Amino acid sequence: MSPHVNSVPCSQVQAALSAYVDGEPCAVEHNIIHHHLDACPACLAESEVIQLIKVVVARSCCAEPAPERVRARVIAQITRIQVQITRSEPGD
Amino acid sequence: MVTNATSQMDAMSHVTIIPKIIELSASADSLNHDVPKAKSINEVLSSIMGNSSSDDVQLPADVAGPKHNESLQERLARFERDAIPHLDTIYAGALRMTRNPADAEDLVQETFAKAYRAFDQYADGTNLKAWLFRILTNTYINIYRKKQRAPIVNPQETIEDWQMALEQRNSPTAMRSAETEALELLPNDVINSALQAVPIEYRDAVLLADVEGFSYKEIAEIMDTPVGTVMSRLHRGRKLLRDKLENYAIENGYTNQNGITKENGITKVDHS
Repeated sequence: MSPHVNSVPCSQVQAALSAYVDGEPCAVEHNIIHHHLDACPACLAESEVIQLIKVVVARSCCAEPAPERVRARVIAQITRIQVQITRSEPGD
Repeated sequence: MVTNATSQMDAMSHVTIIPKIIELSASADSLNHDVPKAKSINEVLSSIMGNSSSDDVQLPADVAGPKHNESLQERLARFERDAIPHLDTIYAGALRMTRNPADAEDLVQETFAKAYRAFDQYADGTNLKAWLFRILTNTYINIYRKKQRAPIVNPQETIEDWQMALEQRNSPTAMRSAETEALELLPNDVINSALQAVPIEYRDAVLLADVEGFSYKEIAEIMDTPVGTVMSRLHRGRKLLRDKLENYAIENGYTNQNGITKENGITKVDHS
């Protein structure tokens, strides 16, 4: 749509958008992307979709606490390992 | 009369109060000597192993570097204090990977067992959650690779690859608002199924970023890859996910059910 807003091609901006939306350094400077998005509806829409993907992924993965038996199993396993290590290293 | 009655009551109460005081002081005495305590793993082990040196397990929290001089009791106390509190997060991560509570439990147990064996190598002050996720991810991938064929991922993937892939995609802008509307309406189980259909390396990168909130640098450490690879996996992973969700929404007429249809990329709202 707007291939060269601020002389940065949309393809370059869109390739960097995922990292930009994550607030991570990317191939194109953040302030250049920022200005590009102000002027380019196609890239702005693209960034909104990425943002939305992040939101739906986060909301689809609601954390549930581990059942109490998982904690018990982990502690039992670590206890067994501790006994093994203690037997194999009598000097400790 | 009154005086007599009072002195009688005084005498009676003294008779009953004195044994009470003796009883109370006796129970207070026993409290001081036999206070029941919740036992830590360390204490349980000390009683099993006949080792009574469980008093000096407190370590300063700001000691950095691998713990080569740490005793087993100290390591155990540190593990209980620092690693075990991440159990819920690791379980949630394991459940997302396996999608099966029984497998998730095995994976969590294996992860914490490996973490404990290697805990003398972990340095305080570094990101323990990321360290545990790294063990979780590696353990899962090893199990996954034993059970199934390895996912097809080109290790030489580069930024140029996905730039080219992106340039090939040329969706009209008019699709976008309809797409975002449809995406927002999709239920969690559909999003979860779509995530499962994304190759594991890409999916893990997406989950580590969007669910766990790790930085690219942390994800690079967890996945043992360069930051550039994390960037490309996230980009591709999100794109794959998006394509799957888009296809699902269109194929299942999901948008129709909600009064929104897409025709030639133009959003139409059905008011009937």
